[in-house]
Amino acid sequence: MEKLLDVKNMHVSFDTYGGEVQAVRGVNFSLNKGETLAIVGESGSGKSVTTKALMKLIPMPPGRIKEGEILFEGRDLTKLSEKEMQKIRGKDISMIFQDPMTSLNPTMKVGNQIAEGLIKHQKMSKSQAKARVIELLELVGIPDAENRMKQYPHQFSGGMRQRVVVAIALACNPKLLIADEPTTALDVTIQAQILELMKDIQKKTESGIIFITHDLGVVANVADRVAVMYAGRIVEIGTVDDIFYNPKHPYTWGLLGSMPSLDAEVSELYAIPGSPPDLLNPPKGDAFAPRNQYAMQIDREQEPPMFKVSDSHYAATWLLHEHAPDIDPPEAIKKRMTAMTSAVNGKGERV
Amino acid sequence: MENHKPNKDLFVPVDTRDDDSEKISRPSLSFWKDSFIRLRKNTGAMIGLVVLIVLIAMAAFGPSMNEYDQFEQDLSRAKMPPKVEGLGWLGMDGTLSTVQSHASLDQAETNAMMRFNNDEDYIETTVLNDGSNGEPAEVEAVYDVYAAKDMEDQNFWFGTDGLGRDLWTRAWEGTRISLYIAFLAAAIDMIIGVAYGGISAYYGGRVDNYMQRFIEILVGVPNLVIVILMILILDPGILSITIALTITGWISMARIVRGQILKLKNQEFVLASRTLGAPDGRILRKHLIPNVLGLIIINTMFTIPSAIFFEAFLSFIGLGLPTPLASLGTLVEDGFQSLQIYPHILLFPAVIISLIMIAFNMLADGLRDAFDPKMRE
Amino acid sequence: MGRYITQRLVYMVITMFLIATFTFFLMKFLPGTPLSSADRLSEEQQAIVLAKYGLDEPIPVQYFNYMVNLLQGDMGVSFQFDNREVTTIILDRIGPSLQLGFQAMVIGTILGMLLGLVSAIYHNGVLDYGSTFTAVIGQSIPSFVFAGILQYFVGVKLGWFPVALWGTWQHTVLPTIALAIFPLAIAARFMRTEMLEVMGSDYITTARAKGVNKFGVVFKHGVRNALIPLITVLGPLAIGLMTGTLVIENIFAVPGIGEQFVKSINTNDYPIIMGTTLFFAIFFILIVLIIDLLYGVIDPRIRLAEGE
Repeated sequence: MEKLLDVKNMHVSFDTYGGEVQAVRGVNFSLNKGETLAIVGESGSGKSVTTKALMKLIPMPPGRIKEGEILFEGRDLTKLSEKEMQKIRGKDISMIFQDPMTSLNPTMKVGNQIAEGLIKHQKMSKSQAKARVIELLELVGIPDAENRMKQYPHQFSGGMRQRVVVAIALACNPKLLIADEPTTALDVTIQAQILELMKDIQKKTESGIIFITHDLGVVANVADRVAVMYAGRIVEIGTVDDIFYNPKHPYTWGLLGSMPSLDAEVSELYAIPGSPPDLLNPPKGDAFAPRNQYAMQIDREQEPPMFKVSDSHYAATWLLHEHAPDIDPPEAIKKRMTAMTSAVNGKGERV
Repeated sequence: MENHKPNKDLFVPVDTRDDDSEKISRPSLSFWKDSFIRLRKNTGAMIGLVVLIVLIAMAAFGPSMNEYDQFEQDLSRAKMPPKVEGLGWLGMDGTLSTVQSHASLDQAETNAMMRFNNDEDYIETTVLNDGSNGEPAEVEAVYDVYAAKDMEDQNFWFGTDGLGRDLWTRAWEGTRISLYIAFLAAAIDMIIGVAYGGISAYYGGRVDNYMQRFIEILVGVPNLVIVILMILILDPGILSITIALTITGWISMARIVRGQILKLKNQEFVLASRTLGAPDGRILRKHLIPNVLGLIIINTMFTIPSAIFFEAFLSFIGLGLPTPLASLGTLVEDGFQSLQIYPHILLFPAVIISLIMIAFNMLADGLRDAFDPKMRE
Repeated sequence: MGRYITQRLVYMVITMFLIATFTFFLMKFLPGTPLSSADRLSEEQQAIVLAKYGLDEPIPVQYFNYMVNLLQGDMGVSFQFDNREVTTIILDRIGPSLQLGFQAMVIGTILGMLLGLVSAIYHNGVLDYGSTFTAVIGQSIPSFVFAGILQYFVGVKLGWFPVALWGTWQHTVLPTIALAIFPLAIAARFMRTEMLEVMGSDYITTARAKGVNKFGVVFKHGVRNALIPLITVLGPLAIGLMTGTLVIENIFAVPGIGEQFVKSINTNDYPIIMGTTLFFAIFFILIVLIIDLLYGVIDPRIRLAEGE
C-alpha cells in the first residue's frame, strides 16, 4: 500500500497570555491511500488541533507547529509557504467541519461556495464549474440541484447543509479528506446517511480519510485503524480489531468502558474519574497517571514510550514493560469487551 | 524501544488518591471581582479613569485655587493671554506674538508694530527674514501684555475672556456644571429607563405590547428635535437642559434592559430556580439584577459623554446656559468669537471637554470589555 | 415584505402627525409673537399683523389651517424675512447642507471602513493600536472642537483652505473633514469588531480550507458579512451628521439649513424653527426607513425570510 501521509513527532503549541499551551505533544501516525484512520479522544485531547495543523489552518499566531514533519506524498508541509499551502488546500487535502450551521458563508449562494475551489484549483470556466457543482450536489444526495445551487445556506436544513459541506470538500477529488466530527451536530438518522455517503465516495475516489470523533460507535462503523489521543499525544494506535478487542492502554479501557451498549446484560457504564490535565503545565511522567487506577511509580516520573503489541498495534503505557506486573483490565470492562466481541461478531464479518 | 531500561523498583502500583494534580489552583472569583481584575488590566480604561479623577478634582478645587471670581468683569484686563510663572517655555508667558510679512522689511516691521497699537516699550521685534533672498520679509513681534497693562503682579493661568473674566476659574466652574448636567442626565436616564424596561419585560403581554408601541413612536422622533423644542419652551437653565436631555435619553436604556430581562427570563438557570420554588423576589435579586447591572453601568457610562456633548452642542446653537453662567459649551462657543487672534480662549475649554469625552469613552470601552468581552454595542 | 413596509409607513405617518401637532402647540406656548420685534405699532396695526399671520383666529382653527397647509407643503411665512415662505427658505438652503452631509458621510464611512479593516487584518499589531486610538479620539472629540483646530491651524496658520464661507470646492474641504471625523471613527470601530468576529467564524476556516487566498478570504468572504451589520449604524450616523451640520455650518458660515436654524433660534423666528424642525423630522424618519429597507435588500437571510 502506498503511503499518503506520514506525520512524525508533530508538536503544536499556542502562545497565550498564561504561557505556552502544548496542545499537541509529539504525534506520530501514517495513513495509506484509501484507508480510514479514526482519531478518538475526549474534548481537548488535541484531535482537532492535530488535523487543523495538517492543513496549517490553526491561527498563527498564537498557534505554531513547534517541531516535527508532516510528509504528504513525500513533501514536508511544515516547510511550505502559505501560498504553496493554498494550492494544496481544497485540492489535495480538504476538510469537512463539525457544525454545518456555521461552516457555510451565509451571504454566498451554495453553488458559488462549491464552485469556488473548482475555479481556483482546476481552472474551470463558470459553466464547467456549474455542471460539476450539479454533479456534486447529486452525488451527495441533494435533489433538484439545479435550483438548490442558487439558494443560500439558511434555506437548507442541517443535514442538507452538511451534505453541501461534504460537496465542497469533495469538489476537487482530494487525496486526503479530513472529517472533524462531521456528524456530531446531526440527528442520528442523518449521521448514518452522511457516513454512508462518505464511505461510498471513498470507494469511488480512493482517497484517504482521517476521521475525528468521540463516538466509538461511529469508529467501529467507518474506520480501518484507530488512534486514541490523550492530552496531546497518541496513547494507542492500531486496527479497529486491535483497539476494540485487544486494547492495552488503561485510557482505551476507560473509553470503551464508557461507551453505552444495547446489550441488556451490561447495564453499568464505566466513567473515567477526573478530568484531562492542564496543557499549560503538562504533568511530569504519564499525563494519564493521575486518573489511572493502575498507575505505577514510574508513571509519575517518566513518560512511557510506544510499546509494540503487534505489527499494527502500539500503545504508550508502562504496563506493557517487561518489569510491569501483569494486570487484567477491570472486570466490568472485560465483560463489556467480551460482550462487544459477541455483539460485533453477531453482525458478521467486518472489514 | 529496547533502550528504555528503567529501574525495576519503579514498577510498583501507587495510590492515586493522594495526588493533588486534580486540585484547582486558581482561586474562584465572583463575577464582579473577575470583571474588576480584567478592568484593571486594561491600560486604556485605567488612563481614562485617572484622567477623569484628575479632572473631577480640578472641577471641585480648581475655582478656589486663585483669587479671581468667575463673574468678576474688568474690561481693562480683557483677553489677557495665559501666564503661569515657570511655564513660560510652554508659551504661557503672558505675551502675544505675531509674524507679519511684506515685500519690504520696513513695512513688515511697521505692520508688526501696528498689530499691537505701536506700544513700542513693550514690543520686541525680531527679523526672521530680511527679504534679501527674494522672498517677502518676515518680522516677528512679541508683545508683553502684562507689562503693558502694568499687571505684572497678576497671573491669569488660562488668560481672560472678552470681559476680563479669569478663564481658569470659569473653565473649572464650567467643567463642574457640564459634569453636573451629564451625571444628572445619566442618572435620570438610568432610573426611568430601568424602570420602564424592567416593568415592560417583567409584566410582558399586553402591558409590554403597549409600552413597546409607545417607544416605537418615540424613537421615530429625532431627539435633536425634541431637545430643541423642549429648550424653547422651558427657559434655558441647568435644570431645563437636563430635562431636555433626559426626555428621549432613557429610551435606549429601556430597550436594553427589556431585551436583557426577556432573554434572561427564559434561560435555564432562571427556569431552574423557578422550578426549585424560588420566590419572584429572589429570582429578581439573585438572577436578573446581577446579570443586567453590568449592562446598565456600561450604558450609563456611554450616556455621560453624549450628555456632555449635547450640552455643549446646545450652547453652540444658542440654547445653552444663560450668561453669565459658564459651561464648557458656552466657553467653547465664546472662544470661537475671537479664535483667529486669541486662540487661548477656545483652547482650554476645548482641551478639557475633549479630555473628558476621551476619558469617559475609554473607561466605558474598558468596562464593556471587562463585563463581557463578547458584547458589542 | 409588503406588509412590513406598510406597517412602517403607518408608523411614519403617526409619528409625523404627532411631531407636527406637538410642534404647533409648543409654539403657541412660547413667549413672543411676530410683534415682539416690532413693538412700536398701534393697536390697529397690531391687529393687521396678527390677521396677516392668521393669529387672530381661535387656536383650533389655527391648528386646522396649519395642518391643511402643511399637507400642501406650506409651512407658513417667516417673521423675520418679510413674506418669505419657510418652504422656499428651506429649499434655498438645502443645497450646501446636503452637499456637506453627503460628502462627509461618503468620505467618513469609506475611510472608516478601510481603517477598521486594516485594524482587523493586523489585529493586535501596531496598525491596529494606531487606528483604534484614532477612532477613540475621533469619536470623543466634539466636531466643533475639531472644527476649531482645523480652522486655526489649516485655515489661519497654514492658509491652505478658506477659513469660512461658501463658493468653490475649497470652501467645502474643512467643514467636510470636521463633519466626517465622527462617522469615520464610528465606522472604523464597528468595522473592526465585526471583521474580527467574522474572521473568527467557521465559514472563514471553510474558505481557507478550500485554498482561497488571503485576499479572497478577507474581501470575498469577510468584508461582505461584516458590512451587513454596518448598515445598522448608518442611520444613527446620518442623524449625527444632521446634528453636526447645525454647528459646523455656523462655524464655517456655510449658508445651509443648519446655519439658518441657529439664526432663527436667536431671533425667535418661530415659523422657520417649526418648519426646519419638521423638515429634520421627516428627513430623519425617511433615512431610518431607507436603511431598514436597504438592510433587507442586502442580507439574503432577511430578504428571503420576509419574502416567503
